[in-house]
Amino acid sequence: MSLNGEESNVTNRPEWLAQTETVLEVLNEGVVIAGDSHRILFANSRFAEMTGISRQDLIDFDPFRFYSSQERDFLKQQIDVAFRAGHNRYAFVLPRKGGGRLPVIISSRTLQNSGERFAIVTFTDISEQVRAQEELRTANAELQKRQMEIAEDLRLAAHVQRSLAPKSILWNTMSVDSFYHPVHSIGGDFALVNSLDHEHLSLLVCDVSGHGIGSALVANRIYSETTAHLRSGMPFVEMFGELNRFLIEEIACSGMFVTAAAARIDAHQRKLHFAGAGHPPAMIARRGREPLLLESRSMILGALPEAVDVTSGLEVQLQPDDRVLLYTDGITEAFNPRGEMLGIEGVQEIVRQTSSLPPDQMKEGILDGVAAWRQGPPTDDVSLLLVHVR
Amino acid sequence: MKISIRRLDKATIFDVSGDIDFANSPEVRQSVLREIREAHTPRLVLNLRQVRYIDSSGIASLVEGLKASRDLGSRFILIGLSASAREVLQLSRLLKVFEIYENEEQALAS
Repeated sequence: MSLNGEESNVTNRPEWLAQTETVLEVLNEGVVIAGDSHRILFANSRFAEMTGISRQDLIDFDPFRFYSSQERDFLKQQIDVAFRAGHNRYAFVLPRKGGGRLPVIISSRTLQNSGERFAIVTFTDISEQVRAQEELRTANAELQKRQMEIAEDLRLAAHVQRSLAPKSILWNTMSVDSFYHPVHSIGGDFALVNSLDHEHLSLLVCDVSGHGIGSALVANRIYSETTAHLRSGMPFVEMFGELNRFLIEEIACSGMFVTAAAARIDAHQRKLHFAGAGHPPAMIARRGREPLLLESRSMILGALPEAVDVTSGLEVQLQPDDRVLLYTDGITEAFNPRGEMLGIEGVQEIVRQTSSLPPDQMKEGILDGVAAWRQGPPTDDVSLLLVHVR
Repeated sequence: MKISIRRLDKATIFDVSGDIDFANSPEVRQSVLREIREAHTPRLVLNLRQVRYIDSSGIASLVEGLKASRDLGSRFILIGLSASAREVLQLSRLLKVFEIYENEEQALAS
C-alpha cells in the first residue's frame, strides 16, 4: 500500500479503508483510523503534519506513548465513551514530535466491519481559537487590574473630596449643620463654611454641572478660588464676576457651568447678606411662617459674559431661632413615582413642616421628606447647609 | 429622548420628546450645534412641548446652542416650555436670555 510515496507496514488492513483513503487525504482535518486495540491503522497527511510524526511511523503507533499518565487516563475514558456510545467529541491536545501540545477538538465515530470494531477520529486544530481565548483572558485580566486601579483612584479622590465637605459646627450665636452626598463616588457639588473673624461667617453652596471626574476637578478648582475670595471678604457680586471669568477664560470647557448660593452672616447685627447665581433659592424658615425665598439674581456662571447682575446682593435681618437653608438642586429635582418634581414649593413645604424641630433633627427631617417624595436613590449630588440663629 | 427634525424654508424645527438629562444631553447638544454650525440654519426652533424635565446638563446644552447661534448671527428659539422646564430656566436666571414663544406659529412669525 502506498500513500504519498511512503510505504505502510500495516497488516490486517480492511478493504473499505483502501477505498476511502483518497477522500480522507483531501480533508483539512487530521484523520486517524484505529482498530480495536487502539493501534493506528491509517493517518492522513494532515494528521502527520499536525503531530510532526511521519505517516510511516504513525502506523501501528501507540497513541498513548506521548501522553502523561493523567492524560492517558482521560484519553482512555474518552475512547471508552466513543466505543460505548458510538461517537464522542471533546477538546484535548495532540502531542508533537518535537515537544509541545497542539490544542485540538477530537471527534470520533466507531463502526463495525466483518466483526471488527474501528474508530474514525478527526482532529481539528483549534490553536488559533485557544490563542485568541488566551489573549482575551490576558486582556480581561489587564482590564480588571486597570478597573481596580481606577476604583482605588476614585476611592482616594472621594476621600479627598469628602474632606472638603464642611463639618457641622457651633459658631458664635449660630450652629451650622451640613450634609453632602455625591451620586457617584465623586461629584460636582461642594459647600464651604468660613469664619472671617468672630463676627462674620461666610457660607457657600456650589453645583458644577454634570457628575463624575470632570465636574469634581472643576469643583476642586472653584473650591480653592472661592475659599480665597471668601476669606478676603470680597463682595459676592465681585466674586461671581471672578468665577464667571475664570470659568469662561481659564476652564473654557464647553458645557461646564456652575451655580452658587452665597451668604455672609454678621453675628453682632444678626444680618444676612445673600447672593445667588442660577441657583435654587435659599430659604429662611421662621417658626409659624411661610419660609422666605432668597432668589438668585445672577445667571449660571461660565455660560455667558453678562451672567452677573451687579445689583445681586440681598440683605435680611435675622431673628433668634431663624433657620437659613442653602442647598443644591439634588434636593428640588427629586421625582415621585408619578413623575412629579418636588420643586421649590415642595421643599418650601417640607422646610415649613420641620422648622420647629431642633436644628439637627430639622436637617434629617428635610432629607427624610425629600427621600419620601423621591422614587429610588438620588440621581443628582445633594449638598445642604442649615444655619440656626440662636 | 427623541429628536425629530423638520427643515422648512427659513427655519429648522427640532421636536424633542422625553427628558433632557445627563444621559442624553450630549445628543441634544451635538444635534443643535451641527444644525447651527454645519447646516447654517438661520433660525433653529426647539420645540420642548413633549419634554417633561430638563436637568442642569440639559440647560448647559441649550446654552451651548444659544452661544453658537449668537456667534453665527442666527436665531435660537425655544417653544412649548413645560412648567418644570420653565422653572429650571427661571432658577438658572436664563429665561431672559433665550428667545421664548408659546408655539411654532409665533416662533416662525417673529
